[in-house]
Amino acid sequence: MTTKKEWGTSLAPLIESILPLVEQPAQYLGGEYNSQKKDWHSLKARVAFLFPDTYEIGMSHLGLRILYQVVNERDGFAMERSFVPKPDLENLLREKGLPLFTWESYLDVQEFDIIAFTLQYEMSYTNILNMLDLAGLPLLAKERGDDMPPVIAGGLGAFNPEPLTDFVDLFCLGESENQLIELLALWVKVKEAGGGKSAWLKEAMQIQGVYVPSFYRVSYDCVGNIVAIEAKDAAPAVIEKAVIKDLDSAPYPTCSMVPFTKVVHDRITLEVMRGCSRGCRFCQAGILYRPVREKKISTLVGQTRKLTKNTGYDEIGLISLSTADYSQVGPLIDRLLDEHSQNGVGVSLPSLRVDAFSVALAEKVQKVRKSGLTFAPEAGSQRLRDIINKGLTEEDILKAVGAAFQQGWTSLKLYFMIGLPEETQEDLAGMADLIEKILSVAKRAKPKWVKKPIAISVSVATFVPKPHTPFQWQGQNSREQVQKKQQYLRERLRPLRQVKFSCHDMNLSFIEAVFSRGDRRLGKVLLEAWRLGCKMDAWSEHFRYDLWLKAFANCGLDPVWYSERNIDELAMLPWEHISSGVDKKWFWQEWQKAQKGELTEDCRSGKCTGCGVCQKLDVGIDLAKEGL
Amino acid sequence: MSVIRFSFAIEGRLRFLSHLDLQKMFNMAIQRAALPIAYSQGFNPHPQLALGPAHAVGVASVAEYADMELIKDFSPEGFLKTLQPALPQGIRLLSARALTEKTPALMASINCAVYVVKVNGLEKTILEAKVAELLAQTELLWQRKSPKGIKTVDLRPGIFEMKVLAANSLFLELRIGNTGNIKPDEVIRALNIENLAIEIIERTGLYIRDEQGNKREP
Repeated sequence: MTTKKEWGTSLAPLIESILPLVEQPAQYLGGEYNSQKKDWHSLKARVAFLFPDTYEIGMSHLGLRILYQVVNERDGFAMERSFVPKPDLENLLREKGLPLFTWESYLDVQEFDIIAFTLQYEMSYTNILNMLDLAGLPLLAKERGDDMPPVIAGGLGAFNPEPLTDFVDLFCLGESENQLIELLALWVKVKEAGGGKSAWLKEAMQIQGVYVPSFYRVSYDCVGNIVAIEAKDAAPAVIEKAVIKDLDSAPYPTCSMVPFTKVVHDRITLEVMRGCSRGCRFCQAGILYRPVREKKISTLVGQTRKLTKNTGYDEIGLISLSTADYSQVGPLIDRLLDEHSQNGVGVSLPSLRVDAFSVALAEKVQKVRKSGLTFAPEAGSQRLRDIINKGLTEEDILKAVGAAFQQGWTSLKLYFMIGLPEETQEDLAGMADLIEKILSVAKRAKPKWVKKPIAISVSVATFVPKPHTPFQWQGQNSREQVQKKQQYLRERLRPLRQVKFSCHDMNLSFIEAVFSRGDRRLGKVLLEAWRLGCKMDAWSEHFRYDLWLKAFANCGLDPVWYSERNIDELAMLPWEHISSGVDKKWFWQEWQKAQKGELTEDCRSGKCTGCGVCQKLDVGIDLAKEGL
Repeated sequence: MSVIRFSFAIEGRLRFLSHLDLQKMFNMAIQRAALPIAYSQGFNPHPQLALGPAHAVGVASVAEYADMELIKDFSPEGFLKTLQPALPQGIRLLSARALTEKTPALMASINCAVYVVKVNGLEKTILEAKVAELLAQTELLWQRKSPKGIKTVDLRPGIFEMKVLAANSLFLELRIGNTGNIKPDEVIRALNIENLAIEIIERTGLYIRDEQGNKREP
């Protein structure tokens, strides 16, 4: 079935003929309420947005919805979506010689002008390769001719883009609402002047936050340390992220798509603010989304009104990195409930701070039905919580737990991390002790009228050092260490029958750490892993650790060197030329303070901690004011 | 308080929605349209919308039915005008009427479904011979596979009528509803014709059928 078809013709009849053969075909339909389909031939720039995971995950991603509306509300521009087909559909597509298609018009992905990916987590990278392959495109950027669409990528992962530089032509750093439109406008301009992809890439480097890796040369010493990153031609030596200064006037998808099938976040997504300046030292998102910018209550009330009307959802999820920190969170919830609860529309808070204030907020929004609460103390001992700058005392935690169980909650989820820098056996014992204390406080606080038994689930992740954090220089624990620590906790918690203990797959965290702090040389490992059959690595049933190890061996690279080594202060980092606006010196200073267990205050309190983002990017903290 | 019975078509790609997806889609569309739907009493109130017999995933239709209870009087014309813009492309409202007297529920009364099945082209005479052969049998045992296992069912009593419309098109009148469903694809496959592939199935009617074989629309 390789007959040449006319450019821009829908593959609908062919795809529809195989849909009866797959599980849950409804996830592949497109055509959701508020989805957009434009007349192909009248367009000047067409973007295919490829989410490197399945539909149910991709449709829960706010960035996709924002960019979808930003592009589609402009004349002449269009964005269509594509997601990872599940293995049954992928096999059928390959068998019938059909390419990856977009959900809106069932168009061949490679016919679009620009192909855009979002990088949400390292373990989706093999999916990027697989999607390009399904689209019928050469995987390596250098093997794609000037007539083939540029492949671009944004999202958090773009802040260490190096492992993907063999495959991606251009990266978008930071917030892309305006940047993407500039890139599309430039595409139209270059095309009209008779230019192609290479001309566009060269000019695109002038746009804030745009990184074109082919204009940079990286050199290594004999051990594999980077000795130089050189910019060629007019490429900027350091690329600063793009940032939206005022969220109130920024575009927001109030005409949001409504999936037919169940997706992970099946509700209205209301972003109340961007950024978090609590300064947890392991947290990458807390750095990359700086500074904190809140929306006004009036903006949020207006957006909610449109969203409820345009979607029909009965739940408004208040989204941000830490919604309880939104300075007007109480009044906002009151306003939203006043207006919408009579129509059966409720409010939900996906992430909670561990304190009594947050429990009171949860009580406000879950008066009748109490679903579970989630707390993330992250570390078990006070010493280690101070090292990571969690700014949370045992008293805070136990008070919050007491308040929650007193008010009738019975199930609690706790998130912890093991393998944090400076962690000792005492810290692990501290974690088990804390969980025991939490359980006994819960038992004491639970009123007699509550019949449901207490259920505490403890989920323990392995620390993965992330670029652009104070812990970026620190190696990950070895797999043997992690295994011992998991074993210790499992045994300590076994006698507690109300506590369910689970931990993340350490092999997955290991590979994640390799790519998190990886360099350009990992491109060949990624390619080899995909060739060997790795894909959908974030899905435990598909993750093939054995194949990953084989890929590293075949490429002659040692994954342990990447994951476990402590990087020297003066060493050049693979992401040295990528800037989040936060000074490298500040990260190092934070690491020094961490070792002494010194806390750094949240800059919202008024004291600048000198991270440098506001000065460098000419932005400021923007807090909502009372009554507005 | 009023109950509106309406009919609608499922067109294009939306034929791949499941019955549950369809239910969810209508509930959300009703909210978008701000229709004053009634809710059930109880701890977990749910909207009073009752769809007729499920269409199988992949089956298009020009004859689906649903009942909706509203807390205010609503004209059928006003209802259609309010709901249609809130529906995705591929769900087309056909008609609506207010149920005045007590009417049996759709699920309790509909017992007959009519389908037109498009197959890949064959000799019309061969097809006709096979159909005649099938109809001549008094019993037609069929292994029905489901996630729960294999069950043997007799298809024959549930085939009310079957005829060949053209070399690539068949007409089927089958039993549906509380007394048991006969699926059109099962009947086609029971013809036992090698290389016969179903291209598309469309439900063209749902009826209340009496013992004499007289049909009326719900």
